[in-house]
Amino acid sequence: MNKIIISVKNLIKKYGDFQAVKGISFDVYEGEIFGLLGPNGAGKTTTLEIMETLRDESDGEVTVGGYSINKDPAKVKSIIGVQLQAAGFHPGLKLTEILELFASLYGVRINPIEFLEKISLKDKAKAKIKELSGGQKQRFSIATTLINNPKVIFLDEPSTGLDPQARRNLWDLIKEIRDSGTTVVITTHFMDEAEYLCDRVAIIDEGIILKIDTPDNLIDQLIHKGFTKPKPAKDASLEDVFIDLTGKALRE
Amino acid sequence: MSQGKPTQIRAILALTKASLLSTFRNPSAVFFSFAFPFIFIIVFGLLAQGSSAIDIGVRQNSDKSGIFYETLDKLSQDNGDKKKIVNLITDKTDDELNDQLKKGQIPLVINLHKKGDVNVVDQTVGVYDLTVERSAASQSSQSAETIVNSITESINNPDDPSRVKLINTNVVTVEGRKYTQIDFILPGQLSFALLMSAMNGIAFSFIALRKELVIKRIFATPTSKSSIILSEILSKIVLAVLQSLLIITVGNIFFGFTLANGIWTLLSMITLAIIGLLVFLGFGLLVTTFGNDEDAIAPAANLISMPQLFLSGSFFPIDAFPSFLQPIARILPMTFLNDAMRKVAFEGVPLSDTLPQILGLIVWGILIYIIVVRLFKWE
Repeated sequence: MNKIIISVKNLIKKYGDFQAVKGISFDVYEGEIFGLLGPNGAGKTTTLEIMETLRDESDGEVTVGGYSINKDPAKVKSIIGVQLQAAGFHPGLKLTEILELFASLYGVRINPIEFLEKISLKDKAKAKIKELSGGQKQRFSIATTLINNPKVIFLDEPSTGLDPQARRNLWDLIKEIRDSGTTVVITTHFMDEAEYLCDRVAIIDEGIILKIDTPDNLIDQLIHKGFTKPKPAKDASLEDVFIDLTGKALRE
Repeated sequence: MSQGKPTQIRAILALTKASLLSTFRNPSAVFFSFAFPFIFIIVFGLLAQGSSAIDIGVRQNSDKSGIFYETLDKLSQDNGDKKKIVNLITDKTDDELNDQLKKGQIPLVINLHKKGDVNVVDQTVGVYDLTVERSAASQSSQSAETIVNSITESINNPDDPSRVKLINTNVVTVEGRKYTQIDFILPGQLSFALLMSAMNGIAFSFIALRKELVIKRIFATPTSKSSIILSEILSKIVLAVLQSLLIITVGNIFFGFTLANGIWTLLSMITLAIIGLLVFLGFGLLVTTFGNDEDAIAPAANLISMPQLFLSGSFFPIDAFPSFLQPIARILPMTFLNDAMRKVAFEGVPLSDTLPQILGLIVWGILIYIIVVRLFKWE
């Protein structure tokens, strides 16, 4: 049986009278890529930030790696890595300096250059965050979530604004992270991304979970209900054409 | 990768370093912290050379009658377009006058005593002994003495040496330390520079870090909130020490700023700078509660820094303000800092003698931080 690494039970988050999250429950298994899907304002970022200890819950119980997020937030923080929607780094610092800073914040020692080499950013060691392309920024941002060798990383819409090449490159990076044993929780509103990346997804809307399952099962269930596409799907998509014409290599 | 227990000290030092690096790589921050004060020092140094009325002190037991005194008194009043050229100070005790003479805060003190009367051209006029005490420490004692001499000469009428001298002058020079314009300007500029870098440093950098989610990203690590605040404060202290060192040493070497007891004075000033900075940082933190972006907090920042800039005696002596403003001006935190700085730098008094000013700053600090703790928002 899969080992549960994150457990969310009856989670409620209220902002004044407004209930952004209305009593949701789900488990995330160790070593999977778990997707939180939903339209804007569905409550995915709120849920994510509660699991990240960045926001207090109004009610319910959340544990990460066995630690309660409100009783033991420091423990939780030390075993998770967090990527925010915006950069979240001192704009004046070089990449190596940012890595050293975060190593100090986690109380670990790292070799910044080796670290950058792993994400093909060694030649950008002296660059500042604003001098990176969108794809490089996201790769760097995801890499910083790994500094403390976390059990779980949380990625909030990591591929927003990237071109197809950079997006596929990022997906490869995320799969590599999963394959090395780190659990990944990701929010996205790109369904192709969720279908390609996620082992399981939870579809959230208006603060409640509509379904949790593997992308395959969800698709099969829909087809089983008699759903047919208005236009039959072809074996390739326009994105495949684009990649075929422009090549897989990163543009940055 | 070695997994260690995160220590808050290492986190604080790393954040302090990050904050300092960010500051030093920001051209406008460097300009405002290090170059700007000198622009003010030079501009106001030049402006302050302009003529204004010269202070002349009058001893309490001095006679305030006779042609000499009347003439001097006339010169101390505006007359149509002609502005007064002397300022007669009659309300100070002997001790205060002695003190000011020694410090060069007053260039000249006179003491007039009537000896008797003589008849000159059918008129009875008084004969006076005039004691003139000139301060060796004041730049304007020469001008003041010239004014006094020209009056006595016109009264004594040197064209007629046979006539009895109506004023017998006796000049005494009071030794003291030389007090130059820079001694007044530099401490004020140093305080102002500290206020500006505290306000801009913490308020604007904090707002920027909050907006760019840097603070939030750090919250996601096991770093405590107090470590984040401490590191911000620590980095501003390092900056303030560098700022003070630069302003004081450059002022001393190139502008002739007086350091009464050399290195000890320097250290005392830096200690005061740190105390002042901590209070100003409180203001800076307070300002961050006024909004979420630079535009929203700028008016609040100006509201706090501008009155202090003009009223704290950084540019103009508080004595020169209208009397209703003076009590307010005297209790501003920057006034306390300015006064303490000037005492330590020029008078060479030990830090302990500036205790009233330091206490004033501490009271401000306590008040500000009580408010900050109540209003401060991390996000």
